[in-house]
Amino acid sequence: MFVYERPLRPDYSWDYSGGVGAAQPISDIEAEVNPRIINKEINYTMLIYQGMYDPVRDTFTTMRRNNALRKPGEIDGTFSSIFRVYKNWGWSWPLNVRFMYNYDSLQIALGHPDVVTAAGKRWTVTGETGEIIDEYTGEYRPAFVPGHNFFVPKAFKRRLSGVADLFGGVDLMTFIRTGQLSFPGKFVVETDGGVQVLDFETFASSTGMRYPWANDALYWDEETMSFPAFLKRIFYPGVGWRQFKPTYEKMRSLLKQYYSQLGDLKAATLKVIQEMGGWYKGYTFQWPIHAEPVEAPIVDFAIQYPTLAWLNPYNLEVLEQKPSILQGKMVGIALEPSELQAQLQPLGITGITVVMTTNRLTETWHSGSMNRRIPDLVELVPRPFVIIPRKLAQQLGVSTGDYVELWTARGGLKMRAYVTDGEAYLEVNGQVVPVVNILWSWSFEGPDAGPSANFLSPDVVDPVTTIQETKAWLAVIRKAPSV
Amino acid sequence: MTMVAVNFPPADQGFAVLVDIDKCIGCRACQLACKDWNGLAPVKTTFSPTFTNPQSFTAQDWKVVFYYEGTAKKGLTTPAGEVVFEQVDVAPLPTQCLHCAAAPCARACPSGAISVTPEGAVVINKDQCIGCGFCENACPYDVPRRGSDGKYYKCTFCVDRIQNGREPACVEVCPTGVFTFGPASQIVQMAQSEAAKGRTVYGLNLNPYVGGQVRWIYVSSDRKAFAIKQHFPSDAVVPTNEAREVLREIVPPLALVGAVALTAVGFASWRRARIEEQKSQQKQKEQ
Repeated sequence: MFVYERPLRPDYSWDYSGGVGAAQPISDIEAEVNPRIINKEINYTMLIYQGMYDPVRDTFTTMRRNNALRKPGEIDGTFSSIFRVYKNWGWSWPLNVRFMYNYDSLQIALGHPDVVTAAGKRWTVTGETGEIIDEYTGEYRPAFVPGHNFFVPKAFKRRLSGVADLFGGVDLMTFIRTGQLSFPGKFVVETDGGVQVLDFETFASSTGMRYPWANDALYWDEETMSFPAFLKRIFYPGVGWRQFKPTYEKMRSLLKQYYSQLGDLKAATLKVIQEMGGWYKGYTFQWPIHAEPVEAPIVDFAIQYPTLAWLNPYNLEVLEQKPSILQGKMVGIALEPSELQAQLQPLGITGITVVMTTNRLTETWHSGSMNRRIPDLVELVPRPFVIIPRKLAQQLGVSTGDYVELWTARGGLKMRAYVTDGEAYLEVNGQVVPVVNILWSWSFEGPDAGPSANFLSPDVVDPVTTIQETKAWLAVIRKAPSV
Repeated sequence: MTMVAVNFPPADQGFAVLVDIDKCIGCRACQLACKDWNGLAPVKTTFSPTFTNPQSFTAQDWKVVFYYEGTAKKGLTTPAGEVVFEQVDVAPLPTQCLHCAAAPCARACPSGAISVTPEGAVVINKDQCIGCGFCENACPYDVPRRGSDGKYYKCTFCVDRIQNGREPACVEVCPTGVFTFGPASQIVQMAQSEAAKGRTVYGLNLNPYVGGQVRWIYVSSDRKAFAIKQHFPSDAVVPTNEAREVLREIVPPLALVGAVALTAVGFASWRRARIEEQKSQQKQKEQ
């Protein structure tokens, strides 16, 4: 049976009852809908959550409560003891890494790389590695080790290790629900003699991989750095960072040059796209780089770390104000603070330029579609409001409960200000950047209808996930002239 | 001299709760669980400047999470040494009736509507409540509230659940384990050991007005102690009511003395009048 030949059973896929071992339900309601089974399912289906369940030892790693630091020699042991990071307390994605982009901190602190013994091997590490289950031994081994390459595609790694289709092997749905390991499927293995279809036992004895199901969603192999891999690489699309870097540098220098010539970031961006035949041309999302949001508060940064948004053709229409009927209307974007101020001037709106972000309430259900309809929850948070830092409130002459107006290139909203010392009033690059925070939970319907934050967030999406950019954009805030 | 006798179980008997506000994330599940279990209707509220909503207890809200903002010192260990910095912190404080060991509201109630169960729960019996508001005046924590029917309402310690072997609704629902419910002796011991560790504890060693102790004991680290300090009165006493209670003990014997004195004065005055009358009668005869 191959993976695509499995019977589709939608009724079965909604059944979250039962559970054995660590997934044993602990109450009546859990026996009906068992969150532990859901947790296991997320472990296998969401790449970033892989590792929050340990199938070899049958434990939920997120539930670990060990407050001892790891010792040198263990995975992340030196890191844990030097920086006092409690890596056996709970778990965090990805792969129990607690600090992102932390590849060389250990080398800097120690002055030399560290050595870790795990899964029967020695590993040389330079930073926080996190851990992943080794498919040969079932033990944990370091995940992010030096030499790990972002540009090697996952499919390529599987081909190199001789396994074409791992999901074909284990029946994950049965394993998640019952804890029973069954291999109704076959392993498709590529050998010199061609493609072979093997059952689990044959596969395990020939490759030594007895725990591929523990490590199913992610598959990295040291083979990727071997000589055969080097020979095969040319047959896989996607270029390396070294090939892309000159394009990136050129794009940034052109953007800087045109901005200084034209004094307008939008015009400069369009000119770069026209000249280079595209935005971020040749970028494959394999390399982690920093990019500013579309509406960046500091122009220097917007030029140094250009937004990725214009890779997406829909976003480009927003930038070019298409269709033409939208030109001059408040539906667009303002790439820099001066552009927003110029757009609002004809309307007679002046105020303090701020960075706006969105947040949810603790008791919210996503956009508020549920909680603004439930009277008990409406009682807790009856009206929309915007959280503003106290320093900004003093500048505006606003105290908690007063109305403020928030204006963006998409229009404006009026709501009450919630003044707090807890909101950010930043100084970035020598420039003051106040942050205001608008809550997400309102819209047209329900006993507590109110303005939605989505009216203000820019109409651009993440080029990969197409999720709307709702974490940072420009706004002008002023005290509401009338209530 | 109370009008209706109230029997308070000793403070180390019955039940108590330890509230560790360090663990509170301010989700208000307890506030809703209280409304849900007790069948309390939603209340129309307005914007709250502190995020606390409703902004205090109501007849329909027996449990309210208060939010306090303050600064806390935090330490971060780095290879270069410990870095200590100040950070703004919001401390949510779940509150309800504290169920005083000797509840002043029960002492103040003239109709005997407030009883104290062997579990230590201070409960208002709606049928006996006459809506006089003495309990509201007597409470140092501003808990009882008059409902639209004129009667008073407050937290019951979920005595109906306790008597059936369950924890109070708010205790059971808390996702982070803020509340530890158990026999009072055990909880008081826990609170004392937390105090010995240097944590801030509120609820032990209080004014005799509340019986020296309450049954909902609050504990926090230095980081969130500002919430406890801002919210709870350091001296759990209502001076006017305390004075009234003292006077109530003194006034009845004084009244007896007064009555005797008044009778004596009255008799003396009558006697004087009588003598005067007799004298004038004698004069008339002589003439």
